[in-house]
Amino acid sequence: MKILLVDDDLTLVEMLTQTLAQESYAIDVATDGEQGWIYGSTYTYDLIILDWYLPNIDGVELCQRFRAHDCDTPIILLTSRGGSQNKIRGLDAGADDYICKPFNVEELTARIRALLRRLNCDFLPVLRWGDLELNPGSSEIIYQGKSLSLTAKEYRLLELFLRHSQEVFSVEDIIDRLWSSTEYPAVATVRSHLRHLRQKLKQAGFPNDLIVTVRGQGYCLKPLLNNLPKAKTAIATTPVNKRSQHLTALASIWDKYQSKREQQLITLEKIVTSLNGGNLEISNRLSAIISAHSLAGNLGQFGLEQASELAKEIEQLLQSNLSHDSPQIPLLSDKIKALRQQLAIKPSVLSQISQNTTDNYPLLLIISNNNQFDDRLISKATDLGIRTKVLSTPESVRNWLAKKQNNGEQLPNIVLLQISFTEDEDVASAAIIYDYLSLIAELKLSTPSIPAIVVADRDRFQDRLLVARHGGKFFLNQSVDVNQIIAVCQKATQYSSLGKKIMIVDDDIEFLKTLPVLLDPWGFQLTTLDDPRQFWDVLQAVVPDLLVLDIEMPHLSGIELCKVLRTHPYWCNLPVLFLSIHQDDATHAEVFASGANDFINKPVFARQFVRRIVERLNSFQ
Amino acid sequence: MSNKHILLIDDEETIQEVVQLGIAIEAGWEVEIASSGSQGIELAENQQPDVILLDVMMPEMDGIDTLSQLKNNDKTSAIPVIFLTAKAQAEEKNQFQSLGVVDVITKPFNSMTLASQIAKILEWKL
Repeated sequence: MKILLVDDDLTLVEMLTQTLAQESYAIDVATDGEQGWIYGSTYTYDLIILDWYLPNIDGVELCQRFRAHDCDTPIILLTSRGGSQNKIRGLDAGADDYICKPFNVEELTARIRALLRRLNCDFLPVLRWGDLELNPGSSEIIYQGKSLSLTAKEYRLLELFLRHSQEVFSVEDIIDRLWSSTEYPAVATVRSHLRHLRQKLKQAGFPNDLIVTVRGQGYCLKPLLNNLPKAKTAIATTPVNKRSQHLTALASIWDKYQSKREQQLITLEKIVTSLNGGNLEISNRLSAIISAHSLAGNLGQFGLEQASELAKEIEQLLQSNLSHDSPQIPLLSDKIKALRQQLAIKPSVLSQISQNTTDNYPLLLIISNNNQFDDRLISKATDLGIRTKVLSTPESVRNWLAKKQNNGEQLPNIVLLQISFTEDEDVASAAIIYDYLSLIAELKLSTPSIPAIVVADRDRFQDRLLVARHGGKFFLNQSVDVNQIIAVCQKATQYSSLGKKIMIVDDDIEFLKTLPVLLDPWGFQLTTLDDPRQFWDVLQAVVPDLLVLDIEMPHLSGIELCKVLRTHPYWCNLPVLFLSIHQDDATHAEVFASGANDFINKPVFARQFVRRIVERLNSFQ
Repeated sequence: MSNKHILLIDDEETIQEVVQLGIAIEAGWEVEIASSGSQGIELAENQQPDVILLDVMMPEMDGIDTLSQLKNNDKTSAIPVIFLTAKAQAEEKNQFQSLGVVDVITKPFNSMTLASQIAKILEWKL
């Protein structure tokens, strides 16, 4: 946590700096109002403490200037000017607290903690993450009842992540937050603190890495997914997500132990050299046997059955007490070489991850007979990571879509149809146009609905009306730039239900069981929860795009959950639908007063439910 | 889905992670890890897991010795034990069961369905 202290009383500054540094705050000091403005407008602070009487710009004016420039950092006015009128003036200028000098230092630090808690919406004085507790008041960290001993910087690092559990911090962010502006720690220093923190948490028994590395971005707190089962809560995710999650996890483990596998291979290769040289030591043989045994046991878990068998054969050969003149040594050597070759390629089951990764890229289906148009569009789409498929007629599209659906493969996110409205206005041409329009209507009604964009060779209202009547999402003239077409395609994908995460909280387990059947065909990623007490943990783990709440539930009502949600800056705009049998006006009023966006009566029909969900999602784009 | 507490005793880090993640994703159960027989016995005494997954081939104290100690300990004798073992040794399944093992899961196992396998062996409802 970083504080800006603006005061020209050097004695006070020195005292406060020492006191706050002991509480592990990083402190920047400015001794006049102008310098305070430069610091405050340049760097990010968690709190600003201002004296009133300052050279150049006084504290109240400085406070007003910060607020006028949309600075919402908490500000404490620390001044010798007492009296109600001065307090009113200071608070009306935008200060969050007003403390008169002389003051009690402990009271000041307690007020600082209180302000920082409010800033981070931590209504409870203790920060918790699973079994880990951090008490800012006492600077104590407890894990499973045992106290953890951290250095000041390690403590502040942990506090930073716990207070901002949804954020990713780069090394530069961490330096900005935890070191004063006059300190210039090296990147390695920050990483060293992180490493020590992780080690201490692991030594304390924390089961998994609490702080995870987000490649290319920085570090963040790991969601509490593994802690959820303790609550005996029915939490279900769709099977597609579990498989994908599983493969992703396996791929991470594969990558993690790459260097260990390399060491094991090197151990095996050295054995052959030692055997050929007639100088094999027993300890090396044992190490090689252990390496082979380990590989044999592990590789099968990643689908490498052949490699696993090879490793077993190597283990058996090593156990047979080969001597330096044994005819089996070339066989052993060949097997080890073959094993190395097999391990050079990522297991095919895990390469599905790569495929799945690109499968997650949007797929644009282009229906066109204009090769030049197609090439320009495909080139631009590819640059932006949009996959493309080109077909020439509505009939071929129908056949292709049917095949995709039968095989359970990904459907396109958007369909772009190049339609000629001007060609020979005869019956045959009209039939072709009608076929395109029918296809657009079919796409709209499909499960999930696929938005259609028409690129027409003319821009007439009648054509636009026809397309709109049949459910087309956008109508463009083909003179429009390819970049604009792609931009519209990207916009259209936002209206797709595919991949949107929906979280539903309802104590009716039987109802929850029906939801995957209801909602899976629409491509939603569904998480259901029957115990509202686990709401907050699950919410933070899942990070849904939309929340559905029942009203009446044991322990906590849906209305209470909605109210709590709306108090958090991160979640205050999450679309919330209520689902309930209650239809009276009073209940409706209470629901909407709590911050809900929509109310659907039970029993609910699939299409109506999905339509309302999609409408809410779209209205929040 | 009922919550279960699994103790895995296996010295292989890869297997530890694969089992832990697979079971967490499939069933949401908590998996405690022990890297050796002696550590596993201590954890079993203290935490009373619902089931112990026990690797057979471990250095120092192998799975057979660990099983023997678990079954001779009043605090842990009632905890069901499932062996994790390579294919060649699955033929000794009957022998293992006579030692007190409930069942044997052969390696490599499908980590995506390991929880289901365990539930089936112990007749748990998933």
